[in-house]
Amino acid sequence: MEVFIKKIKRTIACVMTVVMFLVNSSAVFAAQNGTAGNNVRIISMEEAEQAAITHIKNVMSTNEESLWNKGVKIDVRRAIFDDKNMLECYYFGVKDKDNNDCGYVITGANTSMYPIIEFAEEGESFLDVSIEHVVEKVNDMEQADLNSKNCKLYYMGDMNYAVECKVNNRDSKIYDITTSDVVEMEEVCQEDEETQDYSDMWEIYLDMETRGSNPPDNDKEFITNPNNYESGYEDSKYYMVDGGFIYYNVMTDFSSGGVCAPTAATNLCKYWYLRDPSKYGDLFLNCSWNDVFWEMYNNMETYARGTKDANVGDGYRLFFYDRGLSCSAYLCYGTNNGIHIAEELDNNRPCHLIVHGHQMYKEHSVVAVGYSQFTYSNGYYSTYIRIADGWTNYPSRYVWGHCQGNWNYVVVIPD
Amino acid sequence: MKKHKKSIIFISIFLIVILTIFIVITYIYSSREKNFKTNIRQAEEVQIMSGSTGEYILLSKEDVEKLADKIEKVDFRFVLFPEQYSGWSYEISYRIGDNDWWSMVFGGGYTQIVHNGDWKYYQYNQNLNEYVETMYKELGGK
Repeated sequence: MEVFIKKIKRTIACVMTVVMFLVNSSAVFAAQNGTAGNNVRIISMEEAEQAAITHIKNVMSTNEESLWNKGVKIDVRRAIFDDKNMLECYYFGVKDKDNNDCGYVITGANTSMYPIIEFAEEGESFLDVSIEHVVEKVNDMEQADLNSKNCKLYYMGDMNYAVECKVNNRDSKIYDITTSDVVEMEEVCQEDEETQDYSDMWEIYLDMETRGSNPPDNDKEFITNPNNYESGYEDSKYYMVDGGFIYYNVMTDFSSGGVCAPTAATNLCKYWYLRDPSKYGDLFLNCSWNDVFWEMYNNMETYARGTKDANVGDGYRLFFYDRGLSCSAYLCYGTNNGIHIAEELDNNRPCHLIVHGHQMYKEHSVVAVGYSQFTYSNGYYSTYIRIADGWTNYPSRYVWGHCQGNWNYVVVIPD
Repeated sequence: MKKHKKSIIFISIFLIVILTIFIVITYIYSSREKNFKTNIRQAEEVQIMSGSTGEYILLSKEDVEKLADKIEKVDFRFVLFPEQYSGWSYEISYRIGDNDWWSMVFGGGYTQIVHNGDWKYYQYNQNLNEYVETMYKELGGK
């Protein structure tokens, strides 16, 4: 009898185990189903503000003309919802030191939206202006005494906004803020699009405060926008010598092989000639940059395998002297991670930069025409030198001062 | 006599140290050269980059074999104290695995074999440089 009871107990235990397993499994699957398609993370207002600040800093360091460069603060913070009362985006009003309106930044409110939806660097918020227009129009049409505070703003997706106003205790109406026309909510609402995942972008924006410098240092990627690789800095500076953005010659205009040094020298002469033709007109030898190149080639004792650093300064001096001009040109070893180059450029004159052991440029001579420099609170400088590299006609590329290898430079001061 | 003994011992030790350093350097440079020659055949992708334009072309397996055969025959003589030059004509580069980068740069006054950013200098080899240039141009490189 006991054996029989034991068997029954065992059977019940087995059945219970199976049942428990199935129950637990289904619970797990249910939980998984619940999260599938729901990987969207809500962004808090603090996080959104951090993303907005990062964006403002990026703009300040890329746009010299920006009004934000004079110093701004975030003064207005507002959450904007959609017609279903779902949080859609955040609005941050920006003001300058004198409390004047200085644009705004609108960020997404979850990771399915791009961090920065739109922004303006000056003036009043178009949202406030548009709402005022809508209110005025409604008051005119409906003989009402509506105030913008009685209106509710909705974000309808894809940079569309609408305002809901309740006129004279009647049913509320929805107005498109761009046209101030009454619209049905269905017209305004965007169709549900496939959910995008911008988590990576959000991570970049939110992580930037602590990221520091992270430029590519390889032979595949050129640096064209240093701001993409810097974050959390205290201050940034961009500088370019007067008239530095000109059409430069490339190496293949003249020859092939290791001719970067005379090419850079030709470009430097071209720069001074174009900056002041009356003073440096004689640098344009026989009105031919090709002739200038070959003169420099000989002066610097260039061979197919390259030019000795020590010969570059002599090449300049000799060339200027032969044209009846004079210049100081001397080689400096090391650049303290690009800082010395930036200091030289601050004198409003380009210089001849020589990189050694560079991942992309190997052993190469270029003309340095500008720089972007980022200063961190611990005193660290990250300096990017804008160059005419002899491979492209316009100086759109940079080299990073902390990259692999070492740099020398030749200061050229025409008298 | 004792003084002589001391100086002989001192000179011997000095020579042994110098010889050891020389052997170590020779070994390092020759192994770099050998490894480059061996590894190029195992690389999945080999490219030649032009120092005049910054553009590059990828080599087919057949071309890699031809190039490897050519490099195999070259005897690279190392340079201990290189002067600094700027300007280079071509670079052969390849990768083994994820983190093992190799390249050979012609120019800068020398032929340089670079492994993961560490540069070793060898005497300039014009013949090999011209061979690489011809191959680059034949394959449509600018």
